[in-house]
Amino acid sequence: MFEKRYKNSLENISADKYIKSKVLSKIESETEKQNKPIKPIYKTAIAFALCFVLIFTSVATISGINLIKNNFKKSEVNTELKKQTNSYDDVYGALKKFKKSDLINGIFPRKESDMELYAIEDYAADDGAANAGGTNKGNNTSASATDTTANDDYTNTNNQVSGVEESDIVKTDGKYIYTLSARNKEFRIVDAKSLKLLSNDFLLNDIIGLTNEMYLYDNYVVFLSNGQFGSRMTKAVVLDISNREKPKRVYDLEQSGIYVSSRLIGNKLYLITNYNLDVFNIAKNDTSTYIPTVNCENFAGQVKSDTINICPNPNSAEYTVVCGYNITNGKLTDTKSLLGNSQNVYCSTKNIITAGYNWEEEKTTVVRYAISDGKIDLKANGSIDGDLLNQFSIDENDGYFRFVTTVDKQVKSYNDFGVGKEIVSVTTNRSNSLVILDKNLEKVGEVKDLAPDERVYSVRFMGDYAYFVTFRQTDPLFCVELKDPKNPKVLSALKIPGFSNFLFPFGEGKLLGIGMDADEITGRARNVKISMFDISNPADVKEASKFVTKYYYSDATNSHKASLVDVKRNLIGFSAENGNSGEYVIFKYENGSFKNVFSVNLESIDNAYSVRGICIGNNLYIITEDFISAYDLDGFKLINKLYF
Amino acid sequence: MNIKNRDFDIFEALPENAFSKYSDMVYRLAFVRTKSKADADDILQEVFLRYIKVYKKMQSEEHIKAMLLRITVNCSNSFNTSWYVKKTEPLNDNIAEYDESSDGYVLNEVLKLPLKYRTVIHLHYYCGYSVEEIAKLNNLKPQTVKTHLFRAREILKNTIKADDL
Repeated sequence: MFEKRYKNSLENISADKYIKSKVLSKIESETEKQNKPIKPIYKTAIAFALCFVLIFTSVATISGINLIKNNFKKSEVNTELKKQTNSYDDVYGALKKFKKSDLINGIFPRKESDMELYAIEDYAADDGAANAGGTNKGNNTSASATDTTANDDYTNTNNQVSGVEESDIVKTDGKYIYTLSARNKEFRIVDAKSLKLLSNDFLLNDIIGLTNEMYLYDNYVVFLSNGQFGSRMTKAVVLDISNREKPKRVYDLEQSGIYVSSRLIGNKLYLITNYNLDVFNIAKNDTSTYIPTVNCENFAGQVKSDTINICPNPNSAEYTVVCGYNITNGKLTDTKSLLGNSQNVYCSTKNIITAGYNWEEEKTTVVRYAISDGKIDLKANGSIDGDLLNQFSIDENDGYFRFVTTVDKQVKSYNDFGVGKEIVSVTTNRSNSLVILDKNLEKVGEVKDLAPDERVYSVRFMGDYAYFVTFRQTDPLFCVELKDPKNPKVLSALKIPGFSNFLFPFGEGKLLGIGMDADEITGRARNVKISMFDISNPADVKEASKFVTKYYYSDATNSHKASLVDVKRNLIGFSAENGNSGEYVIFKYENGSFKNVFSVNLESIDNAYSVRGICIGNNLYIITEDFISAYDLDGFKLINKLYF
Repeated sequence: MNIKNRDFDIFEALPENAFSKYSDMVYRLAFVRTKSKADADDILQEVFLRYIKVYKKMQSEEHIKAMLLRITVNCSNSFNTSWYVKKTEPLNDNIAEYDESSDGYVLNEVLKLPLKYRTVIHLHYYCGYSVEEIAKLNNLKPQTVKTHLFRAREILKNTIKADDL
């Protein structure tokens, strides 16, 4: 019985076909080599070569042992953030610590041609002239004041914080629709009323291949791009679109590193990148090998040493480079670089919070930058246990910063059968917590050990309350009261099957969750699901209604920008696919239940990705990479369609 | 183990033929010993590269099989003592969760045993070797193998409710 079951269980264990064929071809070539007789002339040559190899490898192993030893030396922990370096030498000294011990980072060869240091203007004092922007009109920050014919009633990108614009592939100002197609390498401007293509721009051919997203401000459009393949510069290109038929490329802003995140507040663009250093090839005299560079209208070359800060215990040889630009004149307003990387960025109108996870310590390093009109001040740093999910895991309210984390603690269990200890299993103790920090990023209050063995799937902070979903097999929705920052309280935990990837406030006392339905026993995700939670009584959160769609995947479960959530018009829309076709679906929430009011086939399954839906006035526009179609919101009749 | 066989054709011992016949057997032993499919892939290749050097001496079908298993044990031994294994933690993502009635549960429980016990269990129950043969294959005394088998069975009896162990 045991024998049979054991044999059956091994039935599925076999090497991949691909690996088998690879190994087989290797065996064949090796067998051939084996059977080939070696000519006597070469024998002496081989003997000599072997001698060399022997000497070489012995030297290499000795130095190799040193490498390993260094790797496990505990680095010194300073608690204080080293405020501002005095010279490039300080940076070099900090980086030198990495040189031998950091084997993972810095293996990418540096290809960039060395930047020359141009004359540096005093950029910090230069900003006075262009202080036009900064007036936020609630949701519609990019509304043009000059254009009176524009319809003011339109939906915007699904931003986290109102007044802080996030980049996206579709933007609108009520009169025109601006779309960016990475697949077709095009930037298009379309008149919303007549659906007439005004311009179809290839000006950006040198950057658009890797362009992610864009911003719209007044008569300016900003593209963000990781630049050319292999380049380690992130570019922001500003277009002047005052003549909608002939956009003009006006400024190129460039900074070292790979794109992490960005925000637009008024006309100030904050661009955050991670600049990974090649730690093995750092030369003390050649500052270009270890100092980030910034290129724009008033600044070119390496950043000044007093703008560089060193994290007490940097998690890798990477800089977080934060720059502020004025996009109306292409000038740098401020720059700060911090040694240590960051993955998640939260931005309110007053602060930028960057968070980077340190694997070794299982902690997240948090840094706060105060921002005001383009100026960036590094204010505080701190660290919290665990890892963050995304930008929604961070929130600012009333001078307090709140974080929802998933904490992993590894526990090894040993078994000493016979001789020596053997690690039998490594289990990860996982739990979730909510931490509140003050403005110096010191801990004020926390709730710990929530939902053991589950991880956070979505978070939403709404004023005095935090809602978050954790998941393994069922989906508890936690509601935590944060009225007293020193003493947060868990008010309720609702358990339902499936999980929500994103939570959006949907009018008074309602919270919309977009996520996946899951099998209750195995926890396997099945179909895209939307739920409406009744949060009018925080002590008793209820799932008022849910709707399981027939789709297997939706972009809306991956990015908050992909879904259209319009509370005023009572619309929920997103694109989804069910294996062989892509559709755009619109739901309404009426009388306590979801109603699928509209769904349209997107012609090709490729079109199910990077789709955005926007509303202008009483029209709904569905924008894919290949076409725009306009529908009437009463009855959803097709008004017009434009193929690019 | 009847090693010598006059009717044996050396064609059977060619590495390509041996691979097509025994790759799964080698792979499964390597997997049981390393608990990782990726590592088993590496060992699979290493075993046959080592086998190339000895295939001309093979004398019977049984000889090939035993030789390959012997090399697999050796390879995974040297692999288990490598720096890479000592200094890294396995992800354990190959091991899914099963309920008690399914066959996968048995494999999981075997994988939870210490290395020497699960090797013995595998060779005895999967490859069908006797205690003496296992002893020869592993360079151990038969009594040691017996003890290992006994202890492994004791553990397994508690975890899987099997009465025929």
